[in-house]
Amino acid sequence: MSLLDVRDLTVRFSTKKGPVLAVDGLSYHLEPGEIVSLVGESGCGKSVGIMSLLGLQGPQAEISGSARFDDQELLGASERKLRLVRGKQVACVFQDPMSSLNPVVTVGKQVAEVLRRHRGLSAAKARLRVIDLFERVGIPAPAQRYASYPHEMSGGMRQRVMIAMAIACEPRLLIADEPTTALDVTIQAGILELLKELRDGTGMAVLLVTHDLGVVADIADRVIVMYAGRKVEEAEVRALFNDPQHQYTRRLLEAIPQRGGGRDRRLHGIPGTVPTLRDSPDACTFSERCAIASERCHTARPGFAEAGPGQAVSCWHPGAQTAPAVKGAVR
Amino acid sequence: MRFLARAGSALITLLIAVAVVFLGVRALPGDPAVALVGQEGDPAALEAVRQQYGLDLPITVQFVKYLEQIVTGNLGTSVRTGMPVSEVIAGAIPVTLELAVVAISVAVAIGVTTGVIAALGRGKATGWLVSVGALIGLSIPAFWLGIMAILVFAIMIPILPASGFVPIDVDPVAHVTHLVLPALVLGSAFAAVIMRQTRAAMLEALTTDYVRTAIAKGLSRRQVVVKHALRNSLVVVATVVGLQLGTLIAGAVVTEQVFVIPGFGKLMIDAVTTRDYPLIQGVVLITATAYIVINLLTDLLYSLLDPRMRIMSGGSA
Repeated sequence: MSLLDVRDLTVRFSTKKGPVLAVDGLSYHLEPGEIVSLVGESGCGKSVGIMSLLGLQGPQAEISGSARFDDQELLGASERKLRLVRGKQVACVFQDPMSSLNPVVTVGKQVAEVLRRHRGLSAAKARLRVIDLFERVGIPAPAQRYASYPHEMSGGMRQRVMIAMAIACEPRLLIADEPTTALDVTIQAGILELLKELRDGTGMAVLLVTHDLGVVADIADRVIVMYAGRKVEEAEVRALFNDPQHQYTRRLLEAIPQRGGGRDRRLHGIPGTVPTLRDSPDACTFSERCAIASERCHTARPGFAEAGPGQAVSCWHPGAQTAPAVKGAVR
Repeated sequence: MRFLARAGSALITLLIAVAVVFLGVRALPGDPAVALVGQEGDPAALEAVRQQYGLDLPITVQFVKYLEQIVTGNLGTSVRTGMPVSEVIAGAIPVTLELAVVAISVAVAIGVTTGVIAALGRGKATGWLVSVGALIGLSIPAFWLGIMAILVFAIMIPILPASGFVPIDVDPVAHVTHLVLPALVLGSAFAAVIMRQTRAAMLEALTTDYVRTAIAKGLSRRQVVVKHALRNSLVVVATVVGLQLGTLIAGAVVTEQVFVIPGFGKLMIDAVTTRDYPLIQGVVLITATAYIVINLLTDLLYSLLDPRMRIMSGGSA
């Protein structure tokens, strides 16, 4: 049985201009100890999708579908029930460790709070455990750091505090929303290494949201590519990099800067922007930006089909290397 | 270090305030000597008075003399009562200070509580009710509210004294009962301001990332609101309290007048209506000093509430 089984998750926001479809029928699953990465451009719904699992999305969000964590339904669960899951069984690390930590409370206390809440530890016991945790996540001089305020630490150290907070109660699932995006490149590797180590040591699963395929290649076991609120491709990390099936995945991979190739080598962007979905259209959401889009791509929504072992794609022309000779001729 | 710099700048501000008061009083229409001796005064008597008060000296010399006086704690002599100005003021200040402290405490307690309720009840009936209540509290002038309070609680339902002041060593119970209505009246507008600021600060704090972190930790709603959102909002509230203390002095003027309380505010009005120039000068000077000291204390309170301010104060990180 999967640790997390998300089925047909749909998140709709009501805005002044009408409802916006942030996540459209997203399904995926996560096995214990697995690192799965949700990848996509900004605004593709990846963050909203995972925030809604713990009821952390805004009050304007309208959510449907199902998300079973260890056989309990998370979507639509009461706050009381969710509080027992949050921080204890499912923990979060967010993008910006500066704004995610309370500026007026010492970092030690912020971590201790989780232990006192879920483990009922006394202040003194929690303190000792926090110092252990700080040591474990690689914070130097952990006992002194206990009394530091967030602004007195570097970005990388703050993120380590966030991670210490997340693993304090040995959760079975860690949700990491762009955990390295706000950090220097040199710091990023250390944080990713730490996440991997923690996974290996504790067997917790990690759901990693990122737009950075470099991060994905480093750490993920399996990848889910999202575009405009929908899953467009899912594959083992190796398969995804070696043999991308969806045109969007292909373009994403081409957009990664490469070494070599001389001055003439140009960085490839993807023309156009992610559309804002007002409703679920009868078309491939990527068709407007796709170089090989056929007529069918504009009029019918492709289903999700097996494209190889452990690989599936939502595309009418999976694996196409180049633009088809005659637009719209391929079936 | 930084505190010294801050204190130094406060001192300069105070010096400027003294100069403004000094020049302001002298710029007022009318000659103080004439005010003392009378319109029909004998020129020789006028001259004598001018000499007595040093009014015949160049204005710069007068200013230096005035500064010397202030530094030695001499604020001059009240023209009306013949008592030293410092003594007159010293007698009135404790009364106002007590009234202000009680009013602020009441206002902070009511303002912060209702502010949190309003923020949490946003878009619901409770939030709306509290907001409207605050708007009413803000809109009602203190003198009208004071008169209405007397009418209701002293005359229609006579449970509290209508006016006056009883020193604590004379009758402690009467002392307290006499303070209830003035403190509530003085604090009401203040409470409304604090409520609005608390509400705004809370609404902002509740959307921050660190509050999301607190929720994601599995904390209870009360823990999230009090330990994380409110703790940060208090920095804003402290600023407002600091800034509004000046307004509170202005409010005390009216409140003391309505309730006939022999405090600083009543002294101020009496000094102006009787053209008691040395007393006006002293009262304004003390008010300015109080303002500056309060601002200094507010700054100190910040660093207590917000550790980030401490790093800016030049301490090592």
